This record gives sequence, structure tokens and C-alpha cells, in this order.
Amino acid sequence: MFHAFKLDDNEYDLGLSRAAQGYRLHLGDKTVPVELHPQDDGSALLHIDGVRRRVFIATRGDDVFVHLDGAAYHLRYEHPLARLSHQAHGSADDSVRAPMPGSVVAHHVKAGDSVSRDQSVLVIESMKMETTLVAPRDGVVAEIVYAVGQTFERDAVLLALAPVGE
Amino acid sequence: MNRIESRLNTQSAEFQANAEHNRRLAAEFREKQERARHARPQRDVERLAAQNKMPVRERIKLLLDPGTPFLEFSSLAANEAYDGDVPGAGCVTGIGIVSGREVVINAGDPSVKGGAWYPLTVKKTVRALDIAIENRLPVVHLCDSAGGFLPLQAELFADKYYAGRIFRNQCILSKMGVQQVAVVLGHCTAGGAYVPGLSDYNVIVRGTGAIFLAGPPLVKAATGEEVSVDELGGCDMHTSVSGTADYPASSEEEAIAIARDIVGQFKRPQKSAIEWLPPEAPLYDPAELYGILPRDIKQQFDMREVIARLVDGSRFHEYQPNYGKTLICGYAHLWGYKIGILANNGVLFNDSALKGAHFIELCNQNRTPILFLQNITGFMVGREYERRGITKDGAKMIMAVSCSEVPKFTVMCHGSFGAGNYGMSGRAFDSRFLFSWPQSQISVMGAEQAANTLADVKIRQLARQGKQLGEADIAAIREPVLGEFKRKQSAYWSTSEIWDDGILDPVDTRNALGICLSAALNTPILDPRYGIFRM
Repeated sequence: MFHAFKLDDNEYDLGLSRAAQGYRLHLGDKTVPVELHPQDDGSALLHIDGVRRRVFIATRGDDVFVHLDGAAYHLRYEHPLARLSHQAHGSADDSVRAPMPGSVVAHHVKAGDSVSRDQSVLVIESMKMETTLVAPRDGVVAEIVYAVGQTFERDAVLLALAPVGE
Repeated sequence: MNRIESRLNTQSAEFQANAEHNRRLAAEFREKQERARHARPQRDVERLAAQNKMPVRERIKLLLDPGTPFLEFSSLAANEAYDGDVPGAGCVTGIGIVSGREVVINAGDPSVKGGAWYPLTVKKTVRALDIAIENRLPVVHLCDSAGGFLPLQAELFADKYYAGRIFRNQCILSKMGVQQVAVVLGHCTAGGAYVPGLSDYNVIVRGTGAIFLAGPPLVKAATGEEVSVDELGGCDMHTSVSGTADYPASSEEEAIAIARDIVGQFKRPQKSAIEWLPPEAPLYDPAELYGILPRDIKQQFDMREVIARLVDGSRFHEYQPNYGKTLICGYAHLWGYKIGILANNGVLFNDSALKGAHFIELCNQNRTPILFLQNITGFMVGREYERRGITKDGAKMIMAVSCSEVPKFTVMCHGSFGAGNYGMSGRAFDSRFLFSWPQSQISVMGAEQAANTLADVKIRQLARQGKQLGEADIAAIREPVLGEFKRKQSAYWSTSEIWDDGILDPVDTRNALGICLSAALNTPILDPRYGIFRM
């Protein structure tokens, strides 16, 4: 299994494989034997590379809190899929297009407004249903193409964001 | 599997307003349920006490293993029928744990019209036994019924899915090797006599229990013979002379204890093996579901937010995230069990329908049960979409849904209109279980659209005769249609007519589905086989 952790803003890629006893930790080119033995008092014994240490571990969702040698660490588990997809979030559309034919019900912003990603900008109605459309990225609204009540076709540009860098 | 990243702002005014609205709906639902379960006329309560009979829910409590859940079906059945006089349709059905085994419980409620069978009582009972057949669940019948409600006999006696179906289903269960035990706690007269008669095992209570084809008054009228209840069909006669009943009991408590011991002898099922992981609570609080569901049925919401509050760890592997985006498809685990999910995020287009059909095939290929989360206003209409073959693409999805061999489960989350109801495994498509949320609506089209359509037809009809309708005349056509549609598209109407297996408070959905999944795996999952997909 591949794992990624964030510790103090640094990201670490780790691999974990089963060993005869416990696991092997793969970190870069290094391979380190690890074992974790939970104890009755809530602590655990951690064996890393032959060294035995007493640790306290608590988890909340993807956050892992480790108490080790008098210091507390906050690790954040990052799913590889989430991490890789975040890296890919560079370019997003410059416009909001109609997912289906319909009419405009409401504008939540006007030309010149600054918007942030996922902020609701327009409400449209089609097939008896009101759908809220959101901004594809942070930016400034350049134009809202249709007035409230006007109808449009599928894929029509409903709202344009000013190009980045202008 | 990656976690769903919620984009919900739980501090927003919108969320707070939705939460308040939906919590109120859930409270209203619980109040209705409480009334249907417990509010009874004083004279009925006193009559039962005088007969030394326990209320049906106390009987069920004694029957079930302590501390185990009971998933009750259709608790508000018949609540919009018979002037509300037959709460719960006069019977209690559900899945519970008896002696460590999952069983269907079918219990008559003698505090409602003496346990008489109304048409919807029969429908609810037949449905419970269908659930037993489809999921191979043993059945415990707690019999206490005055017999068919005679003024409505034409609506409960002779048709294919009327009372005869109860007995037919009992025979089919026995043939399948699914065991049944009946406990006779009152009179089982006429058809009702066959419930213990067709059970593999039965227990009868001395004094109050009796089984006969005709009670003493009818016998006297037919042949002139005068005979007492006990002589005619009491506990001792049937357990020592006729062999119609197996085990005598001196009290209801003893009878139920014997039934528990009998169930303890049943063979345990071999469950179908599907992917399973140790269960994990959702990362996002299921109570946030109240803030997601919009107050207005017309308003759209992101079904991913709902999925995140139902499934283990809020983890979801989304299939084709960039194609046919109005239908979300993907894998998750629920109470450990791997499931495939199809959830509406808008109108069904050609691409969403194709994606849905393909995903159903994938789930069948890898033996993954499917959960449908409905919020659908229909398939897209219009010239462009007909030219692209929206009808034939919808037909592919309906073909895949109908022929799917893996167990299906459906939750009516919000709207369910038109053919979208079919494509998303509505009642007619044999989902093993189907539940509704309190605000959900089902109808062939929206109320407004139906009222306008009918008004239009009328206006054109009269226009041909050279007449013109005034505003008031049009309103007079529209209003009744609107009222009728609104009443009959509500979840309360739906559940009253047993178009579902009950309304659920959204926060209970995860647990209910966990019980259903476990039950569904008693039946082997067969190889998928489909009809013709119109290409």
C-alpha cells in the first residue's frame, strides 16, 4: 500500500508491506522493519529498525496525533487519489456553461464581482428543477450573458470569468 | 477508496433553514408513527386486557433477542385509507433477530378492529412474505385475527395478490426450505386457519387460541350443530386429536418462548460471499442530512453530500466522474458490505442513462449489491434528445435495472417523477427493499404540469366548439387536479398504499440499509442474464 502523510507542511510518501513480523516501511530507497503493539493502558510499543519506543496515538478522521519522546506530532493522512487530483487543479474553465436547456431564475453575482471557486453564481430552471451553478475557479465575473427569465440552449455560455492575468 | 470532500457550509443560513425544516418533518413523521403504533380506543385496550392478551408490540418484544434491532416495515400503511381507522393496516411486519437468526415477523394487531384483515392488511402481509421469499428469511407468524373485513371482501379475497397469495407464499417458502412457525394467540378462522396450518411448526395458547374453518355461530347456521370454541378448535383438541397444531402452551409468554426454541432449531443460512471490510462510521455526521435536503422539491442538491453521510468513512470510488454527470455512479461500503451506488444529480440524459446501464452491468459482473438514491424529474425531453435516442438509451437502463441479479435497494430521497422512477429501480422493479424520506414525492409528472396539461386540453376542446374559458373556469379545472396530485404524490400517500416498505427518518437510513443488506445475502446471487439492449 502507498501512503502519504503531511507533517509540518512537508509531504512524505511511504510504502507499507507485510513482513513475517509486523510491516516493512519503504521510505525512498530505505526499507525499515516496523511493528506496533497496542498496550492495555492505551499506549503502544513501536519498534522501528530494532529500537523500541512507547507512543500514544489518537486518530480523528484523517488526522493522526502522535505523542512520542515528550513531543506531540500532528500527521495528516493524505489519500493518494486526493493528493494527485489536488496537484492537477491548475487550469479550470473560464466560463459557466448550461448543463441542459432552460431559463435563468436568478443571478447571485454581477459583472465585476470577485468570486471564489464553488461559489454559487446563477440559478437556472429546466425540467421542473432548479439548479444552482457555481464558479469553476477563483476570479472576476466578466459577463453574465442571459438576463433573468431568458432561455438558453444546452452548452450555451451563461457566465464568463475574466481571463487570468488581465 | 478516497473520501468524499464535503463542500457543505454547515454555518450558512440555507443549511440552517433546511435543517430546521427537515428536523420538523422528521419529528412529524415520528409523531404519526407513535400514534399509529400506540394510540388505540380505550375500549379496545380494555377488551384485550380482559381477554388476558398482550398488545402486539409486547409480544414482539418477548419474541426478539434482547437488545437487537427490529426493522419495522410500512408502519404507516393504511394511514391515509379507511378514514385513518386502521393504523398500520392492523398488522406489524418487519425483520428481527430471534434465537440468533434473522426472521420476518408477521403479527396481527388485535387492538385494531379485532385484527380484521382489510385490503391493505392483506397487501402488507403478502409483501412481508414476498420479502421472506426473495431473501430466504424464516417467518414467525403471531396470529390473532378476526378474519377478513367482510364489507370490503371484494377487494381482498379473490384476485392474484389478495388473501390467497398469503397462503400461496407460505407454501412456496416451505417448498424452498425456508422454515415458518406460527403462534396462535387468538382465533384463526376461515382463511386465517391456514396460516398455522401451512406453517412447518405451530404453537397454540390454551383458552384464547383457536383454529377452525368456521366458528361456532357459522357452524350453527350451516348445520345446526352447537359446539363450544374449545371443542371445535381449541388448544387441546388440535394438539392431541387433530394434529393441526403441534405445541400446547398455557400462556402467551410460554407460547412465545416455545416459538423462540423452535426457531433455535432452524438451520442457519449460508450467506452469499460479497466484498466486506470492517465497518466504519461515516466521517461526516449523518445528522447533516437534514441541512442538505432543500425545502423546495424543485431545488437541486449534490447527492454526493448524501452519499458522504451514508457510507463507511464517507469513502466513495466514483466511476466515470466526468461522463454523464447527472447520474453519479460508484462503489462504497455500508456497514462493511461493498455496494454500488446510482444517485441522481439532475435529469437523465443519453450519456447518464448509458453510464447507469453500464455500471449496473459492472455491479452484476463483480456481484456487488446496488443502492439507488432517487431524486429524479425524469429523462430529458425535446427534439435534440429524441434525435439522439433518449428513449432507447432510457430503455437500455431499464433493461439493465430489470434484469439485474444482484440485490437492489432504493431510497426515495426527494423527487421521483416520470420514467426516471423506472430507470432508478422504482417499486415495480423488484428492489429487495424500498424506503422513502418524509418529504419525497412520486408521480407520473409534477402536479403543476399535470394541472396545466389538463387545463390546456380542455381549453382547446372548447375552443373547437367556439367557446372561450375565463380565468375562473381555468382555475376550476386546475385546482382539483392540483389538490389531488399533491395529496397522492406525498410520501405519506405512497407509504399508506404500500408503494414502499416504510418512511425512514433520513438519519436511520444507514442502519436500515445495513439490516437489509445482511438479510438480502441469504439468497445466492445468480449469473446475470439480460434481454435485448436496443443499440
